[in-house]
Amino acid sequence: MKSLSRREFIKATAASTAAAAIGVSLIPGMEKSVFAGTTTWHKSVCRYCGVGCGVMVGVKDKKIVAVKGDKECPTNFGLLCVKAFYLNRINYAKTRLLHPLVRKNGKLQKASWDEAMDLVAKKFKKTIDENGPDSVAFYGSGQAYTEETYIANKLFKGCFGTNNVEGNPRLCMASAVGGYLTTFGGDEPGGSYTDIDKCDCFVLIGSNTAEAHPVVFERIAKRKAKNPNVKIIIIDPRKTPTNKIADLHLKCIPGYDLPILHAMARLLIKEGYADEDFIKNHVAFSDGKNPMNYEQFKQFIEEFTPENAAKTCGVTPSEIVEAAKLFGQAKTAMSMWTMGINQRIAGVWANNLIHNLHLLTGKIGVPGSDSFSLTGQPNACGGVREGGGLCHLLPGHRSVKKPAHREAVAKIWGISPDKIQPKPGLHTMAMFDGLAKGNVKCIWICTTNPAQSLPNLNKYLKGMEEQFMVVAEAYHPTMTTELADVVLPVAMWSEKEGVYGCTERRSQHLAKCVDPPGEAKWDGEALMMLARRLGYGDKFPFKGPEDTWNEYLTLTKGTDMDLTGMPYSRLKKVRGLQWPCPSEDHPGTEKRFVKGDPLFKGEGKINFYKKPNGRAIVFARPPKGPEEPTDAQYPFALTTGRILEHWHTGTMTMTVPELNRAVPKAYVEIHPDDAKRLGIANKDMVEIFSRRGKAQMEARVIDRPRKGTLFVPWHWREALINLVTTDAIDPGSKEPEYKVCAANLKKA
Amino acid sequence: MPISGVVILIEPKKSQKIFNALKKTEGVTTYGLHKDIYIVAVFEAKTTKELETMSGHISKEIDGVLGVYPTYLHFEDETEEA
Amino acid sequence: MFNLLKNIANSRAPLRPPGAVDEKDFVKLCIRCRKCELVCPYKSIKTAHAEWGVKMGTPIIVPREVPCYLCMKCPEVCPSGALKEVKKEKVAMGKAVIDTSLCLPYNGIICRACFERCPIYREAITLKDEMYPEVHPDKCVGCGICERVCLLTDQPAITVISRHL
Repeated sequence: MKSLSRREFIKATAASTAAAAIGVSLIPGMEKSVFAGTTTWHKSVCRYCGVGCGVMVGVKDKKIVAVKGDKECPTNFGLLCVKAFYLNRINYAKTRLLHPLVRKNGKLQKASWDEAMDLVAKKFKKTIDENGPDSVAFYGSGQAYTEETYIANKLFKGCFGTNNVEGNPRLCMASAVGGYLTTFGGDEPGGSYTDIDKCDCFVLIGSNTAEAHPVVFERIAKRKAKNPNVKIIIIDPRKTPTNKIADLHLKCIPGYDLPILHAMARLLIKEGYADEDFIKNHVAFSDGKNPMNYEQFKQFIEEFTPENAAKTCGVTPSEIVEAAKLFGQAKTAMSMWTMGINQRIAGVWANNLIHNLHLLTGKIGVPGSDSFSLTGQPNACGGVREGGGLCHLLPGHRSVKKPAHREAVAKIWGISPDKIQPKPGLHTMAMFDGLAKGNVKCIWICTTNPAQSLPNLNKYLKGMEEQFMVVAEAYHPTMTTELADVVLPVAMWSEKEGVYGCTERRSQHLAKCVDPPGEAKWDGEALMMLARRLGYGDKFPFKGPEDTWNEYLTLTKGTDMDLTGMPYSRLKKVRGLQWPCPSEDHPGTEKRFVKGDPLFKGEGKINFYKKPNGRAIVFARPPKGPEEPTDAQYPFALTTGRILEHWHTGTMTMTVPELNRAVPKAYVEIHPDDAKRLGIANKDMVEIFSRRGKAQMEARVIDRPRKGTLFVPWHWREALINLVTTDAIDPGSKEPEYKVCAANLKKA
Repeated sequence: MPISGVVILIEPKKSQKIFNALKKTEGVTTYGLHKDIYIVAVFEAKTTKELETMSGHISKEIDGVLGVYPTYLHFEDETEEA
Repeated sequence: MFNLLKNIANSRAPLRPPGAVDEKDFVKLCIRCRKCELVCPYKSIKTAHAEWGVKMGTPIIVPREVPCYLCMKCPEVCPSGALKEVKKEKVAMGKAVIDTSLCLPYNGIICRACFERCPIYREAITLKDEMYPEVHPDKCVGCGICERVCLLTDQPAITVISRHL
């Protein structure tokens, strides 16, 4: 190994000398030169999307110098996307915050940790004393490590006694959670990435997999390349890069895909593709309020003929027929979806209808088949959904509403069960509305940037400015830190250890590779500093993440997401483990609800044991459209999304010049026919406006969105599209409808 | 094991073909096309003699290569690893 | 050897604005009026300085800095016939080539920067196995957007070679 790296160094020298001879400088960009010297490699997980790719972090002279794909990780087998390739840069951005900031005379000024924390503690104490615990709140992140969310949850729900604990997965995965809970009784997919390698028909709906989950996309593409008979159906208003592998694209009108799913279900039953045995033994039916029987369900979906559905959805009847046929004929099928389904006022229902297709055809619980939600953030599943970092949850898939759950948690937390409120706290949008109205007076925000990422921002920015806001963040300025009263510099990826849980129920350990810069501290430590100042120090005896994780594990024991078999000592050796994993000799669970799942009891091929009678539910949901349909004044459906090179609000990716080079600024995709009609040429500056706000950006005239649809990647603060988006929420999941609102545009 | 840094002078119109050919040649790593006409490359071989053969082969056999100009030679490990 | 390198360096051709006639004629026809440079909305067109010898004062494009976005405004204003009006798809400024030893996908990193931004979308650059970019010289117009967006730090893995050689 040593001689190889030395040789790489000599090669780099040889190449750069040759380049110098023709007046070219190679060395600064030559990633290969980092192999020189003594680079040590640490096992970790990518900081970006929810796929959970294994990475190896190269450290030399106490600095992260390189990141490469972990060939042994079964998630990505060494493959990475370009964001991950430049991960080694994000720790050393110029915008890293190195010391606490406290607002004095209207300006954020350098302060000591003690000064900052004393102020935070004083504010929190006074607010709680004067206005009760529900006047404070915590807003966390699917990017924080599990241990950090756990500490915050314990402090706020268990010690302060408020359930005002939320996280950005509310904006991203809440509808998927609602879908899994209502249909199957338990959150998170039953299948795994390994199903991709055996799947014959993929339905990608509301997902631009190629850009948002590139490594999963390559796995699907590979499956199809090796097996040309594999079919891929895409249901999306845009022709995205994902389309390259599609056999069939149903280019529906944004917000109107529910009838397509019902029409597919109807055809699957009519054409004899339904698995009647499976339905008889493992499925129940419901209209959402009352149970119904199979016949009643058939009557309900009878009106969703391909013709009827096609009318509202903007696709042709034959496309729906073809989609149902491909799905029905395939031996195995997987559905995958992301924000196009979740970020909708009918998000939970759309999730239910996707599950319906699998339950009606028995295409679930067998290798190659699953109803498989793709997660947006690296630890939305692990930290927030499993860790209970939402206002209605407690750790270990528990609910604040259930007395037994509160008791179990209170026992481990060493508090009285009465301390945990039985009523859910404020969900994300209500929490920021509370800030705007002054009901929430103090908030701690961790690892996220709501001042850029919330929808309909005009309504919420003022509240964030006015109330006392503590932001624990690795970067400054962000739109949120700029509004804060106290900004705490925190350790980021690779500067602390912890666990991420990804899409397929896999928990993976992230090593601490280097020390945090400046005065930055672990988020958990910052929260414990507050706890100690408010007299709860005894509840937080944790020396670091490992102690925290161990306490959390005791809370998962015996639950459906049992992590007991995953102490750090084991996680450090393996490439993650999939729960349930009840003991250290348990290999983890690739497929839930079937043989091999330690919780699977009894006979039969599948048992949805999270439901009282072991049956999953097929729902007859009304075909709800978007909150704000287009009209004469706002004739365009605006939809927002992601691109390969940037991530979310860009606090990380926009510090990497190479990624900015590829996509330096915001743009809106507009169909050539629409552009022509409005006299807009490629690269013209345009203004997009809705009933709520406006944003300016460059036009990209391209045949990608369907006519009448505008698509905007939402990463840039300079072109703040979230001033335009709607904050209407799904009544069940409380997730906002980022994906559809009515808008218009004009030349700027 | 000797290592040599070289500048390969090429006919620009044939650059893609030359890249493909170089990729197939064992012991050659390329470092990009520069100013339209230069490809920077590193040759690795077991002996300096072999290095010369490689260089000769590339300049004669690959269509569009106008010349191969070594700018750096490293051969201290020759005995160690040969 | 030094002389040979120097001679070839001096004979190398710059990337010309779209619609340029052959290099020999171009140098003669171009009256160095800089109208094309002034009309270019993106500042893609620059003036060749002294190091270009007789080509000094003529318009050039350095795609790594600012590529040509093919708005086709410059041939319209050219008074001398050095730039001729052509359709966007028929432009022949040069051809892109890829060094697969540098190109990220060929090294196991998913990247579609050049593919996604190519204005002759899905024709001039395609992805083999949904992963590896390939240039189709018959479709490539040589606008240089790919070279501009290539997100390697220094030297791009995809480079446009001028037609005027």
